Amino acid sequence: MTSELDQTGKMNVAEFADAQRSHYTVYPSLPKSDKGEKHIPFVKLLSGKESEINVEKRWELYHQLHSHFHDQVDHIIDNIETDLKAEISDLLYNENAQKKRCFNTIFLLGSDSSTKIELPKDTSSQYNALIELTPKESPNVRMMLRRSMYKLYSAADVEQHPTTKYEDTNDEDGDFVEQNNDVSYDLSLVENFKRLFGKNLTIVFNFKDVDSINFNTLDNFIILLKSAFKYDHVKINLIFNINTNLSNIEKNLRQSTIRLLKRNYHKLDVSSNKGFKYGNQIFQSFLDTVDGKLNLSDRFVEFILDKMANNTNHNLQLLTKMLDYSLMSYFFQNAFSVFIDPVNVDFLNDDYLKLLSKCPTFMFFVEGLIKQHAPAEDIISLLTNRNRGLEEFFVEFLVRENPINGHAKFVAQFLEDELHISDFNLIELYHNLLIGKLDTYLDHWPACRKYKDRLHFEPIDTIFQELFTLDNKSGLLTQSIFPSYKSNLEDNLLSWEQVLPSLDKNADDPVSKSLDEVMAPVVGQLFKLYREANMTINIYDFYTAFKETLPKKEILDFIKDSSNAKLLELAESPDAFDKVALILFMQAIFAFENMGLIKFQSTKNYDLVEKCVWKGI
Amino acid sequence: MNVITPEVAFREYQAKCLASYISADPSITPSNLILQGYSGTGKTYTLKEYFKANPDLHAVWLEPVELVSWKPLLQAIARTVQYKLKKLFPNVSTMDYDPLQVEEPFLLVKTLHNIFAQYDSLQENACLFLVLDGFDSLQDLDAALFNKYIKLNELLPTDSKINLKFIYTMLETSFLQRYSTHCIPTVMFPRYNVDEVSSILVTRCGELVEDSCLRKRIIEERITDCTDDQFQSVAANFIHLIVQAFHSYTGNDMFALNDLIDFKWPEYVSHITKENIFEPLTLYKSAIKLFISTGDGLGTNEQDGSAVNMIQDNLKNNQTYDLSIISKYLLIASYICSYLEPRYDASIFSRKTRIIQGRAAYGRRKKKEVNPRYLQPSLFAIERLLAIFQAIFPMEGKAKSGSLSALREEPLMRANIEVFQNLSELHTLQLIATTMNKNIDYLSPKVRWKVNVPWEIIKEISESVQFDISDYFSDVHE
Repeated sequence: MTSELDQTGKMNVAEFADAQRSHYTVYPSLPKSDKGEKHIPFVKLLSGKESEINVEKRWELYHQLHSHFHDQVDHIIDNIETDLKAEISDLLYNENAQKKRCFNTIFLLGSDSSTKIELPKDTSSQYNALIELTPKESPNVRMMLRRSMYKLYSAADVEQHPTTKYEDTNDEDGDFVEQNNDVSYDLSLVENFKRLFGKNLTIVFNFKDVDSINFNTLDNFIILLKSAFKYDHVKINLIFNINTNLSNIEKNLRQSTIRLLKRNYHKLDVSSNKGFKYGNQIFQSFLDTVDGKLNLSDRFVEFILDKMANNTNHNLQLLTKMLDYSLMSYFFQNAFSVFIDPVNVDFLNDDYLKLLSKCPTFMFFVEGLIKQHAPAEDIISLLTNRNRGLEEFFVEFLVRENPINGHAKFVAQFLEDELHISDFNLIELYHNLLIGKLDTYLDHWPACRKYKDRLHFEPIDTIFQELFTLDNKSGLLTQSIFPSYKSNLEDNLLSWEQVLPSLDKNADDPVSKSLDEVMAPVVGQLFKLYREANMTINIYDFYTAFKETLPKKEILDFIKDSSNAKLLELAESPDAFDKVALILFMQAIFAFENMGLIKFQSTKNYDLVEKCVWKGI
Repeated sequence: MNVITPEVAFREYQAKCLASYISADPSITPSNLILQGYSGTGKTYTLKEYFKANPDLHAVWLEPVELVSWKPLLQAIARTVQYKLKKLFPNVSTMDYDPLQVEEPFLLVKTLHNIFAQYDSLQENACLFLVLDGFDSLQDLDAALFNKYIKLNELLPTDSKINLKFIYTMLETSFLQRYSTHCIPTVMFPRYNVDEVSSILVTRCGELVEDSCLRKRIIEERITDCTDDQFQSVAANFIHLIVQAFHSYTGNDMFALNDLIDFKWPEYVSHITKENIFEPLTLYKSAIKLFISTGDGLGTNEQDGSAVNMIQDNLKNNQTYDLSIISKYLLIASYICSYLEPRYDASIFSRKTRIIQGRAAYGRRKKKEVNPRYLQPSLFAIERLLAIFQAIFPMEGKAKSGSLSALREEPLMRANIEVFQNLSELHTLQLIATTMNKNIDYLSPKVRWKVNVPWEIIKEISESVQFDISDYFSDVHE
C-alpha cells in the first residue's frame, strides 16, 4: 500500500495520521492453505486417533449449528428496532395520548440517542415535523429556537416547493447563515404555520443526549415552547434521550417544569438489554439450536449471569459471544460432540467406547446395577462392549432429550401465557432449575404460588451427560473472553518460561543455550528487580542492581562466540560487559516505559523513575 | 373619556388604577405603564379583563419570553403594530414595511414613523396599547434595553394620529428598581394570601366536575341521587383539602397548587364511593395518601404500598439501565482517589498493617480544616484507581473456606477486560473525566483522571451496593 502512495508523491492524510500513531496493529499474514482444499481448524482428538471423517463431521456440525444460531440472533436483533419504533410512534400518535395544553413527553431511558423516530405520513390537514436537537446545537435558548424553527421551516417549505434547494446548514460555529430573509425564525412561525402552509402542525422535538445539554437552557426552552399551547393548530411532543437516569433530570429541571412535563408523560426503556425480553429470546434460541440435547452446566450458566451483570450496555452482544465461544470450544475439544447428530453413531468405535466407560455418570449407573444384583453378564457386556452392549446402551441415550431444557421452556411459556409475567430472566431461571432451586426463584411472583406443583422440577443426572455439557470448567472462557491483561503481562514477565517457546530449538548451539539457561529475557530479568523496588527508583541504582544479576561469564562467552563483527569488536574492549549491560538495561527500560510500567518524573531530570504499576499498594 | 372597570376578585384596587391610567384619550394616558407582581398574582388576567371590558381600547400583546432576544422583539413589535393597524383601519391604504428590516432600535423608530405617517388622514387621535407581558423574562435581558423602550415614545412624532402606549408587566422588583428615577407609573400586584388563593381556586370546581373521570366513576359506582350542587361541593372540598395540605410546600404559588389539583383529582375521584360521597371525612380518610406526599417526581408513579415497598420497586425499575456493580465500585474508588490523599492509602486500604514505617503508617495527625468534599476533585493516576478498586471490591467466595474449591477462587478482583470496559463506559457517561479530551490513550500513565460526580450521587450509589463510603470520610476534617 505504501508503495502506491509513494508513487502519487502527494501528502496523504491517512498516511500522515498513521505516522502520528503511538502504536500500530500488525496483522500477520497467515500462510494460505495450499491446493484450495478445505481447511478445517479442528484437530484430531482421542490422542490423535480420531478419524479424518469424524473431524470433518464435527466441523460441519459445528458450522451448521453456529450459523443457525446466528440467523436466529440476527432476526431477534432486527426485531428490537422495529418493536421500538412501533412503540414510540404508538405513544406519540395514540389519540388518547393527545391532551390539550400540555406536552406529550416521552423519556427514552438508557438511550444512546440513535433511536430513529418514525413519523406518520402527512395528510392534507396535518403536517408532522421532527426536530432533532443535539447538545452541540443547543448552547442557548436563542440558538435552540432558531435552529429548530429553521429546520421546521425548511422541511415544510421543501414539501411545498420541491424545487427550492435547502442545504443542511449543520455548521458548528456560531450563527448560521440566514438563507432567506423573509422569515423570522421564532415562535411566530409556529403561530402562523396554518396561515403559511394551510396545515395543522405536530412537532416532535427529539432532544439527543439530554444529559449533556445545559439543563438551565433546556428548562428555559421548554418554558418557551409552552407559549405555543395557545395556538390550537399546534401539538408538541418532546422526546428526551436520557442515558443517566430519570432522577438526574428531575433534580436538574425546575419543579414547575417537571410538573408541566408530568401532565402527560411516558417512560420507555430502550437500552437493548431492556428487561429480559431479548436476552431470553436469544438464550431460548440457543437452547433450541442444540435441539435440546446439549446441557449447560450450572457453573457455566452462573458464569454467564455473572458476566452479564457486569456489563450494562452490550448485554446481548456479550451473551451471544459467550454462547458462541462455549459452543465452539465444546466442538473443538470434545470428540463426542459428533454424536449430537445421532446419524453419526455409525462412526462409533472402540476408541470412543473406551472413554465412555470412564464417564462418572456411567460408573455410577453401573455401581447401581451391582448394588441391585443385576446379572453379572449384563454388567460385563456393558463395561467391555461385548455383544455391542455398551454401544447400544449409548445410542439409546443419544436420542433422549435433555429434560431440563424442555422444562425451562415449559416454565417460561407458562409464566408468559398463563400468568402474564414477562419480567423473568430465563437464564436465571435456567440456573435455578439446574441447582434445583426453581421454587425459590419463582417466589418472586406471588402469582406462581398456586402452580408450584405444576412447575416443580427435580433435577436429575442423565447418563453420559458430561459428554454433552457446555462448561467453563478450566476457566477457558474466563481467560479468553475476559482476559486480565495487566496481570497477565506481569505474570508472563515473571515466569516467561511458560509463554516463550521451549529452549531445545537452539540445542545445536551450546553457547547460546547456556546463556538462555541462566538468563531470562531482559525485560523479564528487569521486572524481577522492578517488583521489589520502591515507588521511585533511582535509575543508577537500578542499573547497578541489574548488572549484578546478569551472568557475566555467559554473556562474554556469547559475545566472543558471535559471528557478528561488531559484537566481536566490542568483546575486545576491557569494559565489554559494562557496555553490554548498559545496552540491555536501556533496552529494557524503554520497553518498560512503552508498556506503561514506569515513567520519568520530568523531562529534565532523568535520575529517578516512578513506578506506575504496583500491586496491592 | 369613560372606561369601565372590570370586576376582578381581590384586584379591585389594581383594576381601578388601570382605569385611571389607561384610556382612549392619548393626552391623559401615560406613555409607559408598569404592572409589577410575581408570577401568579393576576397581572395578565386583570389586564386582559380590563381590555375585554373596554373593547374600544386597542391592544397588541407580545410575550418577550417567546422572542428570546432583543432583535426579534423589535421585529415583532414592528410586525404586530403594522398588522393591528391594518386591521383597525382597513380603509386606509397603506404599504407594507418589512418588519425583518428592523435590526436596530433606531430602525424601529424609523419604521414606526413611516407606518404612523400613513394614518395621518385619520380624524381622531387613537391610542394603541402595546403590552409586553413579562418584559424581564426576556432571555437576553440587559440593563440598557429597558431604557430604550421607555424613551421610544419621545422619539416618535408627537403630532402623529396614532399614539403608541407601552404597558409592561414585570416579575422582579429588583429589575424595576433600576429605573425608579424615571418615575414611570407602576401598579403593584401583591401576592394573594391563603384565603384568596383558595377562593380563587374554588372557581375551578365546575371544570373538575365536568372532568370525564368523575362521570365515569359515577356510572361505575351507580351514584344516582346526587345533584350538581353536591358534586360541586365535593370538588370544592377537594380543592380546600389540597390547599390546606400543600400550602406549606407551595406557598401562595397558584400554579403549583393548580398542578397538584390536576394531578390528584383523578385519583381522588377513584376513591369516591356511593357511601362516602356525602361524607367528606370518610372520603378524606380513604384518600389520605394523596395528601401525604406531593408526588412531584417523575419516577414515583405508583403511590400504592408502603414507602419501603416503593423504594424497592424503584430499585427494581432502575436496575435495567443502571450501572453494573463493577462500574459502581469503580466510581466509588475514583471518588476516594479524588478526595482522599494518596499518602494515606496504605494505612486505609492495605490488609497488611505497617508496611510503611514511620508517620504515614499511623494515619493522619492533623485533621483538615476544610472538608475535602467541598474542594475540587484532585487528579489521580489510573493505577491508583485500580489498586483501590481492588481493595474495596468485595469478592465473596462461594466455596467454603478451607475446601479445595476455595483455592481455585481468586482472593482479589483482578483488573480484567470487564473492568476496563466499565471504566470506559463511565468515561463516556462523563462520570469520570480525564485531563485531556481528545485521543486519549486510556492506559498511558500520563493521563490523569478525576471523578465527576457529587457527594449526593456517590452516596446513593454506594448505598445501592451496601458500601459505606461515609466511613472513609468520617474523620478527615474538623
